[in-house]
Amino acid sequence: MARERTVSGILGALLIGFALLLAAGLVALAVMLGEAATRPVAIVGGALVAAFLALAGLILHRLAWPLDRLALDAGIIARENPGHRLGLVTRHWLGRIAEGIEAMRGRLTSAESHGTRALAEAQNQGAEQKRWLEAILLDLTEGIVVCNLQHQVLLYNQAAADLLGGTQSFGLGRSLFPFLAREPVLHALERQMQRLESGWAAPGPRFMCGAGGGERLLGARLGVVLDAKSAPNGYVLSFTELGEEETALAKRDDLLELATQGMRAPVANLRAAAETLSHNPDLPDAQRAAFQKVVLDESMALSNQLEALARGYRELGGGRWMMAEIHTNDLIASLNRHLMGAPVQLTATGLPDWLYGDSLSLLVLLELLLRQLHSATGAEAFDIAVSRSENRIYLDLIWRGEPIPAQQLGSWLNRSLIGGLGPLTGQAVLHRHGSDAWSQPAGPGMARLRIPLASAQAGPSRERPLRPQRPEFYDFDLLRHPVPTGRFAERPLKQLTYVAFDLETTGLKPADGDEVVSIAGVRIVNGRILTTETFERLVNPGRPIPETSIRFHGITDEMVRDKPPFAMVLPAFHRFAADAVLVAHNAAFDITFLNRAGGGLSFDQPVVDTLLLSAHLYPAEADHSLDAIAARLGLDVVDRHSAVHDSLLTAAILLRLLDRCEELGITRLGQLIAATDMVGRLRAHQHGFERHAAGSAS
Amino acid sequence: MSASILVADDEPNIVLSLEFLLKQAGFRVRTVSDGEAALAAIAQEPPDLVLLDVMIPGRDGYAVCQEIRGNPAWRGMRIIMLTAKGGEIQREKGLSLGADEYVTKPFSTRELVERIRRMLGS
Repeated sequence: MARERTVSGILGALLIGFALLLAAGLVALAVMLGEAATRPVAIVGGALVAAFLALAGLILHRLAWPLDRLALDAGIIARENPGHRLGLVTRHWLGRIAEGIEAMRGRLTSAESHGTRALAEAQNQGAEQKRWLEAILLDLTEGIVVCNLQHQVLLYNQAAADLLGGTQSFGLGRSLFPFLAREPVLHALERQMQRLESGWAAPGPRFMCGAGGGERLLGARLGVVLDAKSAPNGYVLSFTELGEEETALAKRDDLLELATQGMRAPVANLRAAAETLSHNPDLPDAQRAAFQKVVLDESMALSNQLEALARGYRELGGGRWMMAEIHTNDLIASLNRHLMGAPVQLTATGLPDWLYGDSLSLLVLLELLLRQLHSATGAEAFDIAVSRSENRIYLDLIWRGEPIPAQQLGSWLNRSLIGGLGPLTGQAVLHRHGSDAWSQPAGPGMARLRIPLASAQAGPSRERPLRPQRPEFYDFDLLRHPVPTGRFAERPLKQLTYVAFDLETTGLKPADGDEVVSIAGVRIVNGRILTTETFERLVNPGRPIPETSIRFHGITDEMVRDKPPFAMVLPAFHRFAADAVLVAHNAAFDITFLNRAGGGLSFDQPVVDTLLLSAHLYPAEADHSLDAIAARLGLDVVDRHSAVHDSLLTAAILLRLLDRCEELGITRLGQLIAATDMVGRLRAHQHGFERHAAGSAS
Repeated sequence: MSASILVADDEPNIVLSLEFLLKQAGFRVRTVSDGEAALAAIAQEPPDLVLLDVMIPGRDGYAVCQEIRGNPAWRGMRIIMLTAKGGEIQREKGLSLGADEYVTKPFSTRELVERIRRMLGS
């Protein structure tokens, strides 16, 4: 190892060397001056050397050694002990250097003790928070599991381990799914992602989930964990065993049944016997005795039931249904994913709506019914039609063939459902939804299986203000589309294919440069609104969207910044609407924009205007705005925020108006267009007259 | 000949009253207590009206009703469903499957007999 060089070592060597040179110089001088000078040279030289050595000693003592000491101390302070004191001799020449290093040592000592304190505090805080979290997790009777998106367990509490099969097998880093049914968790995660995308940050609704290989049923809730950039990177599951809750629910159901249905039969028996006795005073003794016995028996039975009811009521615990708002489109989309690979084609029709129920159990029930229907009837193409009647939503599975016998349907519904739902049957799912299912004819050669469900009155629809009525447009060059011939002319109105569409614009004046900001449409085939065959595009209008328009359609400059211009979107819409009759409300307004965009595309198919058709069919009504007609016909499309909202509403209005047309003998498109054309001319004339009158008056 | 009625109910006490009252009103009455027996009795001699309890053993009232409506030979047969299931959905199900009336228990026997009289035009 190389020896460390010190200041005193280097300086000492230099001084010794210099002293030797001095001595050698004096010896040489004495030799040159001869013997006579030896003595004086020796005396003077000796004094010089002595003085030099004294000076060298002083330099070493006051400067070199303190410097070395300082270097050593600084090293100790820097590397080992900031509290180390400088070990300098009291007399030295380092002056302010030593003072500076001493000051630095002080600062370093205080900084380090501050850092240590802060670290200790942070560690204490962390430990305390950890203790808190542990205490909370330990205290929770709910099981908590945190997983990453690969479903590996990152954190869990004792309740989770107990519910999912003990700490022997359940643990950190392991996959969640041997312990918890995969399907409900994935479904809840998918639904929660959908909710996040549509701006719902609240935790998702509760759902049921099987654990321990389906032996145990849990009620769970899932929340998505977001990273710093708001991207999902995991999820938290909380769950409880459903046993007790479910038992309480079952008890409540039993009680309700006892209180209502259970009472009906004995009361009926009692009443019938009593009425018979009172209306027939001359009954023979034997018959009278028989009826009296009925009265006595049934009265006893009623008393016993009442007792049971009261007892059950006292024992009843709490319990909640795990129901949530479900959008029928989400349910049907999930159903389609589940049926992937199955020989069943599902077409969604009707007006999408919000229902109230348990998403997964309905999904599994519908899947089971479709598979059973397919194997029983051989049908492959099914419609799933959504319709509403007051506070009820009907889900109808429709196929070509015969209805299913009630007994067969009953046997399907009594089977245990698959999909991690525990020992639940289809009948239990229906019962839990306060529902039932039956099969009946649905028009010539068609059958349906109907499931009525509760509608979600307070669906999470984002209301927007009713749009101001657009000025009516009358442009007969635009409306005078070719009189329908060929395929359009001959077929009954309800058998034609239509595309109901709607444009949103920067304003109401195409002539003043207003432009399209969105286009949406939906296809209607054989009298069914094909809910999933929709067209929705945002369009960059190439000019700012006025605040007044944004208020009505909710489309902002930001939303359309990176969207294509209308001319680029139009070819896709042209293909979407090919071979279909176009339908729009106040159609001339929309057609103006379609044809103005140019690009060599022409929309030369017939156009039906629901505004003019309504005016023709209901001449006594004054208001033919979309909302007014919908209100009159009892139609409602709940998704006001959806881009296809107005198209769906227009489509639903068209179908209802076509029913009215049939009643009035309008069965072909030519008749219909001729009728609306006439109304259009009358209204245009009246409109012009009113304007003229207003102009004269002013 | 007087109109014939089949009472299908497994509650002997209500059957006792109904049979007595309907006979008293001049109808010919037969009684059965399960779904299969009801269909067998109908096949043997189709009645003019069936009083059908929903929750009879075997094939339930809905299934029997659907079976009757599926047979063109029994097209004119009237069906009144009697039930302790008082829910709106069950009522809708009964009517959808072809019942003419849906009566929830308890009911006034006098009104029921009146209703039957009107339905059978007697």
